[in-house]
Amino acid sequence: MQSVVGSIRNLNWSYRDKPLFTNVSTDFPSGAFISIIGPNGSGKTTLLRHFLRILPSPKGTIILPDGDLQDYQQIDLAKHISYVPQQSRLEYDFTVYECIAMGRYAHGGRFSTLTNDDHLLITKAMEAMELTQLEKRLATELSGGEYQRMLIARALAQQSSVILLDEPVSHLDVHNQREILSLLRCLVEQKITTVVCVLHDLNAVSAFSDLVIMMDSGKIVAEGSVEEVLTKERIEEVYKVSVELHYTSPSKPPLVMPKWR
Amino acid sequence: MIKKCYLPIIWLFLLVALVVVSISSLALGPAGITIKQTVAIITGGPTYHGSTLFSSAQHRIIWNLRLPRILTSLVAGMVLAVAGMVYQALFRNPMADPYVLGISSGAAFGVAFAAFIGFIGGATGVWQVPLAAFLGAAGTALCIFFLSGGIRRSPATLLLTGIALNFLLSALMTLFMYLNRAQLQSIMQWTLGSFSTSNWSKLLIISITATFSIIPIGLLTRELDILLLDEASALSIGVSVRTVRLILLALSTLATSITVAFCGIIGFVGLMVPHIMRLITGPRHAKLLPFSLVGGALMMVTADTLARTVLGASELPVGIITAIAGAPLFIVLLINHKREVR
Repeated sequence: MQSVVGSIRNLNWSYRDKPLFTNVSTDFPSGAFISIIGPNGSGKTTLLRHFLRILPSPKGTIILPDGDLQDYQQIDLAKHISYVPQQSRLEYDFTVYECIAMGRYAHGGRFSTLTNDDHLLITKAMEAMELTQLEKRLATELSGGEYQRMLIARALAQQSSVILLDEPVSHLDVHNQREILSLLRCLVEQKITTVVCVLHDLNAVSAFSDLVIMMDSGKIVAEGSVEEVLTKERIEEVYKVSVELHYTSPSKPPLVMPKWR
Repeated sequence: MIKKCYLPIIWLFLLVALVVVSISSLALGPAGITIKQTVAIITGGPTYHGSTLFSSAQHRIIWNLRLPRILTSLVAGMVLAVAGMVYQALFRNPMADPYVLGISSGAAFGVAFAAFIGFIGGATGVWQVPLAAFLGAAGTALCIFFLSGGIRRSPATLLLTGIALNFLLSALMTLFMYLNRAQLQSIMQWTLGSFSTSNWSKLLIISITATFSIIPIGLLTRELDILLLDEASALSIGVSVRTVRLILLALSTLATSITVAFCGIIGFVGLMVPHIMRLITGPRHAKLLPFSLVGGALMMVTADTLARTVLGASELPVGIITAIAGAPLFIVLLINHKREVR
């Protein structure tokens, strides 16, 4: 049986008496690229935020390798889960290196400064995200793609077993989208971490994912491989748009073409 | 930002400037005591044993009036600058400081209200005033959170709530002055800020509070850096955001309130100093804290020296000097912030 980095069991959650999640249950298998998809407002971001405990406790449980999420100390949780937020920009002049070094917080003591091992891990994270040249640049001066790679490098420096990413490429051009998703895919293939990523572009989902979780109105409506989830009928039902699926080769996942007009 | 290797030199330069300004300030004033006499009085110790260089009156002026006053202004400057630095990180806003947020007004309101109902005044102990100030400041800090919907709301909401509370508390203090003209002078003293009533016992209380507030803040500099990120990122990095914020808020509010209790409302030091020092050190709090301490002390000693010498024999409230210097900077920050938001 494949090991899991996190399991959700019967998650129910309401905001101002409006039910947002009803009986959500799923597993995040270890060492996979997992995409969470669904229309706006379907609960994808909220689901990720429950893992950070930023929202009031839901009914149901989220189980991590060392027990119930609610029983974790924040600092121990950081050793298991790291997070790349949706479009955050820092307004203060930290350098790229200083920003990535923040990822080592959970591994240091109260009085400790960065050790040689910490510096080594930060350097490795920068190399993995192709940021070595930008080490001394201010984070405020980075382009959208560079900034996003810096956030992923910070998550890598955290040495967590899973990285949660909330729409990491939504505001980027196609070149940067491809570059970042390829780098994330490399991390999974090199067995460095498990990636759980909220994505909107169904073609990117098709190209990079091992497992797809499709949400609609606070429920998981489908989960499985790309071929199992991305069917013409299901996409049209959930997204309320007509699509065509193109198969360029039998071994490759389909291309999803919405009918714009 | 200046190169890392120059930072210790700049810090030492600021420290030397602080010592020079403080000694010069000791010698300045209508009593006509020279620098040479001042040095002789200080090195001679706190007890007057007779001297050909200076009189017993001059010894008293230096040891009982000017020295406690300058040291109080020095500690108050440190406290307000560090409190400003902490509030700016807590609210992720370069415009936050104890004055702008209404925490200083809350402390002054606590003292004014306590005086109004007769809790302090006359021969009551020295602890009633700081207690009233702390209750006023803590009440204001809690109101900011309660009115702005708790600690999870955006920094802008918290800041605007603080500004609104500032207006309300200033209006209430004016009402006290209107209703009780006998206390007009003492309430005015809190609203404009002054070190004219400093003495050794007040200095001791301010110093103890400052020490027990600034040392724990110094141990939380990594957390302060991470609090500048969005809440979700700070949580995911491992900082218990709510707990750390409450601890930092309590420490900076305590230090601010005790300073306001004895020195009144002195605005904009907490705004200006961390902002100027950040230009030298960059945003990392481990570097910013020692610079803010020395910078705050230097600015306050300079402002107080100006306040008591610029008009000759009479003196200005120090809050007027800091406001004249600080308000334009606040406007510049506001314009820049607006531009960034666009």
